[in-house]
Amino acid sequence: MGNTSNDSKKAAASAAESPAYTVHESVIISLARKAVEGIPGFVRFSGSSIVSDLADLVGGKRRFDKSIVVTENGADVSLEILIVAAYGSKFSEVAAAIQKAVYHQIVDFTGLNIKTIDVIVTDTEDAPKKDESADEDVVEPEIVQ
Amino acid sequence: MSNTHQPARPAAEPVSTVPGAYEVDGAAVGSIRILDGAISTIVKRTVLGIEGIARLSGSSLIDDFADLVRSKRIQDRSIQIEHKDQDIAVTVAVNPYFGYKFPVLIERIQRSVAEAVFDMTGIKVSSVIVDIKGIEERPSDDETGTAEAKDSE
Repeated sequence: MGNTSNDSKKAAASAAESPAYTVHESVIISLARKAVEGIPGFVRFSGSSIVSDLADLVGGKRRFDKSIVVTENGADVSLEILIVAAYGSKFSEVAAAIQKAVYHQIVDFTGLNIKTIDVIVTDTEDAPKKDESADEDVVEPEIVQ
Repeated sequence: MSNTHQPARPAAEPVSTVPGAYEVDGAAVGSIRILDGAISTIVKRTVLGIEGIARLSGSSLIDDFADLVRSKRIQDRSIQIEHKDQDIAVTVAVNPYFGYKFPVLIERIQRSVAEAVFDMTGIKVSSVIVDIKGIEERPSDDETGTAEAKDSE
């Protein structure tokens, strides 16, 4: 990713008044979701706990609606992303990495103009030990409970 | 099924805005906010990790259940966070085990909480008030760990 030139961003920005195309909110959510997953220190989206994991299992599709809020105004897009960060990570670094990834994902792939990306850390918990994301270098402190 | 979960962000939950947002052309692309819920989780885990602390004050049975269903309510009852400008003041209610010196425990709680919160969030903790609400017998191997709290009042 990231091969698209920055011109697309400028083109979309100059056409902010009357965009020649529309991108559906759910597309933006999907792009943002894709960009965020796998970022070190990111555990899950807020609200996607046991209940919605179950919803996901049985084919629920609206799982991320509450944790990624998209506000569109012409070609200007504002996002609010609610996450659970890994315990022991630096939240601001995780959040900045998310902002960076989401920003480039959306700007490069949609040409839309990003107004703001707010990241809200709602909670913290241990990052799951997944084999698929081998590049996770989150420090996991021992829990004494 | 899919819409059974509640809104992820309660409207009234206090929040701290922290610096360090990703910048494009020298301008931040947005804000980074940390909800108090995340801070109390840090406080909880830090305090529970300290040798000599039995648990946060409150019913252990209900606590365990609350943990299971991921309820924040019990946690919030024993951990209070007050916002003072950019800093926060934390009050935490704990039950230590018998045999630990309170001043030592308290000093350890204060230092660890302030460090852990600052490390992860970058938020300065201006004060940590430790409220010792009860004291407990350390459950030994054979005894059933009846959480018989002797109030120190």
